[in-house]
Amino acid sequence: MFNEIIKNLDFISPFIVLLYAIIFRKIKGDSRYIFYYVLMQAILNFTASIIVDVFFKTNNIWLYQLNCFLSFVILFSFFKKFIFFRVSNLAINIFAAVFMCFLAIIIFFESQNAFNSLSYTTVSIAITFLCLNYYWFLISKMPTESILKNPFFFIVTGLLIYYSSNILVFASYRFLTIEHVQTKSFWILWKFHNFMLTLMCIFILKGFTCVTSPKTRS
Amino acid sequence: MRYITEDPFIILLLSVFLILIISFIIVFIIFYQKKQVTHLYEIKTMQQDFENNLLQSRIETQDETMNQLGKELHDNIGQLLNSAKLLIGITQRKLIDAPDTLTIANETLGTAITEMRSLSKSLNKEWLQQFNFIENLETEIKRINASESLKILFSHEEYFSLKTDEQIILFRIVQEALQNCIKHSGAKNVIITLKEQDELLFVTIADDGIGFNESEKLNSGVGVINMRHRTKLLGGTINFQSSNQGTNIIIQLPVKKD
Repeated sequence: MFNEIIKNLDFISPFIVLLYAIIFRKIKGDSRYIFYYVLMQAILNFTASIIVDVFFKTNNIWLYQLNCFLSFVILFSFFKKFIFFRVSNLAINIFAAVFMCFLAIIIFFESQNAFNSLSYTTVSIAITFLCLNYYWFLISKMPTESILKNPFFFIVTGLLIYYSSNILVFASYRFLTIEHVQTKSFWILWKFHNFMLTLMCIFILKGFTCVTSPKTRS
Repeated sequence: MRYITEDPFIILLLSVFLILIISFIIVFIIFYQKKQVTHLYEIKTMQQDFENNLLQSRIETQDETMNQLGKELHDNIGQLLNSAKLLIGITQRKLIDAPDTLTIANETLGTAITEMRSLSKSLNKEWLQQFNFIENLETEIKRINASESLKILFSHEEYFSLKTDEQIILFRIVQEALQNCIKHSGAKNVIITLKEQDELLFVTIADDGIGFNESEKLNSGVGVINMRHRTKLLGGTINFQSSNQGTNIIIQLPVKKD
């Protein structure tokens, strides 16, 4: 039972965050991107589990490929306004478009029969970099209020913890699934991934609690 | 990479190490930002203190000048006017048939002396400190009403919680507002209300004069600037609402109940 819960944490945790955001009307401003990101995680991870557990099909890799690409697109849209370089918006957009093309090519040429480690690792590094850039943005501008009242600080912290801690997991997962698929010792890594994803969801939930709802805005 | 990735526990260990590095960065960001906020708060407090001290000294200088002016009016000009009245009285008594103009001049001089005395009183700091705001303002209103150029109505509560030195500052604000009414508004009636509610003191001065437009408000004179400064010194706000049917000045001050 406990193992089942841990195994399915990758969609249970995002669903809890979604419920909170909908019930307490926290989907506003830039937090909408994070809502879409969590929604996408919940739907795709749930579908991936259903494909394997209910329909007993082994190949759900295309869902993870889609997840990887959409994660970058949504999170880049969120981080775009916090990018702290002296470059024009056009340059940032061109760079993002080139990066997305590069990502699509990696995904296209990756094997459809094993986990897409290369694309996931690339996206994880890119998002880790964007999160650190957001921190740089935070400490470079004059603060008007405590960082702990800023919803995006918690959201970005959650994303940073999840993506940075999983870089090595994503990088090695393809190899491990091929080599250790019989011994299943690599499952510990997936449990670790799910635990970190839950931690990210907790941070996002905390971030959503800081978003001022229309009712309470003075 | 292949050797490392063969053992999931090594990957786990390395990932935990990455988490530690990230946690260190997060803690650093929190403390750095906290330090920045504290530093900014300190600068803001220092600026506020500096501005308050500057305002305080400006107002003290102004009060001292007014005090000096009051004394000069009473001791110097008052004496001269009294001497003039005395001489007119002597002349009146010496003349068998004193002309009416001399009697009128004597009466006018008497009125001037009374007016000057009450004016010098209202400028005198020691006199102000002896009485509370309501008594001082009532005296001032009586003085202005006596001139019949303006009719002022004053409604207030029996007691309000404001320290004596703060009451003097508030008195000066109202005094300035009334002076503006007399000089610029062409108003016939003024209503002053004083009300305390939820640890806030509301003072409104409403007149039925010609009002003033936005550009006049922006290029406000020294009087209005002083009113703003004095209100700021009391930690309150002042709002001017004007139309061609009159001006409404709303002063809002924080009060601490004992």
